[in-house]
Amino acid sequence: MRFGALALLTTVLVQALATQAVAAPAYADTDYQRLANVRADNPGFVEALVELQKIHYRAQDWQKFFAYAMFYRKKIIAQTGSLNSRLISLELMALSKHCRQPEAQLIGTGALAFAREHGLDVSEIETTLVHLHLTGLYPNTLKGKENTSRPPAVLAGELYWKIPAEELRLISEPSQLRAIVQSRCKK
Amino acid sequence: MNTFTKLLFALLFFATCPLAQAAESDALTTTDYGTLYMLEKRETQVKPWQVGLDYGAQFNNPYLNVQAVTLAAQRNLNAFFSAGVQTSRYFASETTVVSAVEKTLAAQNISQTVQKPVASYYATASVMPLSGRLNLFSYTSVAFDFLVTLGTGAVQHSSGGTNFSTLWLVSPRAMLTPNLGLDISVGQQIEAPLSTDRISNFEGRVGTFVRF
Repeated sequence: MRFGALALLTTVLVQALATQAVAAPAYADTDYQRLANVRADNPGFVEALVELQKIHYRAQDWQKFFAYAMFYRKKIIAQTGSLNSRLISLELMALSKHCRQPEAQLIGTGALAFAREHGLDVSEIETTLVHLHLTGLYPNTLKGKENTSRPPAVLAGELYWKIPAEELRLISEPSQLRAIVQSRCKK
Repeated sequence: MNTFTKLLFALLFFATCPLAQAAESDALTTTDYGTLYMLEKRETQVKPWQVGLDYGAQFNNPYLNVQAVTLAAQRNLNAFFSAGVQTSRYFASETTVVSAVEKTLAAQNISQTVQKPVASYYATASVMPLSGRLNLFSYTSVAFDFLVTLGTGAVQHSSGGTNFSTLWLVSPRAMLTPNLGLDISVGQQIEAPLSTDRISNFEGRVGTFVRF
């Protein structure tokens, strides 16, 4: 009787742990994987990145969103001397969602200056900055979910190594980058 | 303010304007927020099941030359822990020492029987504390991990009797493909560990395993 109960308990424990081990990944569809597999040195990287960032934004997957956004700003813009207004606008709106208007304002005005220097279209960034200004007039409350927890290393088999922002320029692929950005909104 | 001073200020203004704009556009690539991390994932992907086949030999048995074929099946509980069963079939022959003693005793009409192991059955629990990639003579790199296994079970002897037994093994392993790996194990099998007549034999194994 006691042995039977022990066997039952062991079976339940094994099943519970096994279920945890084979949990499905966040993005199982092949289209996402195809976009995520586009390497940074591919000429189509920025186009793929725009689509990826839309997916991250919609899913509120902020760790990946901000990591890709910083990689784009600090590495790709510096490398190519070109700027994609949609990517910058998405980053500004995501920062605004996290009530980080000062950073958004800095990046927005920086992007405007950069676009003017290089003779690029600034209308989308200007529109986003107006949107930022308007949202800044309202009380800052948390909208959507915050994404600031790190995986438990022992069980998930994943570990977050902290890296300084300056090292972004040395990284060739952003797929393993994560950024944790605390929301400054009132909860 | 004379004309010269006005001209100087105007020149200074026009000279510093591009600098101010450059500083403004620098903010685009220098503004930081939050904390950045690099995600480190295990090189060896966790798969639910693993089946292995090993050939082994015992090192320090003065009475018997023992070789074994072991079949093991394991269920990965998560990335680091697994539980399973393993069974070994032994092929044992007497050493020259035992044969000489047997001959001597036979001459004195005394018979001696050495109990040979026939098979063993273990329930095992394993932990994989290390995993990564191993550089192979700078030719290629292979996924590598290190497994520590503890087992408890029974060893069946040629007389038909069985002994309660425990087992420990350490196994460095390398993956040749994502599903197929090679392992080398070193460990010890302790029969009747709570008895004063305990039999402890070191053993080495080499084999292959498949994950699926």
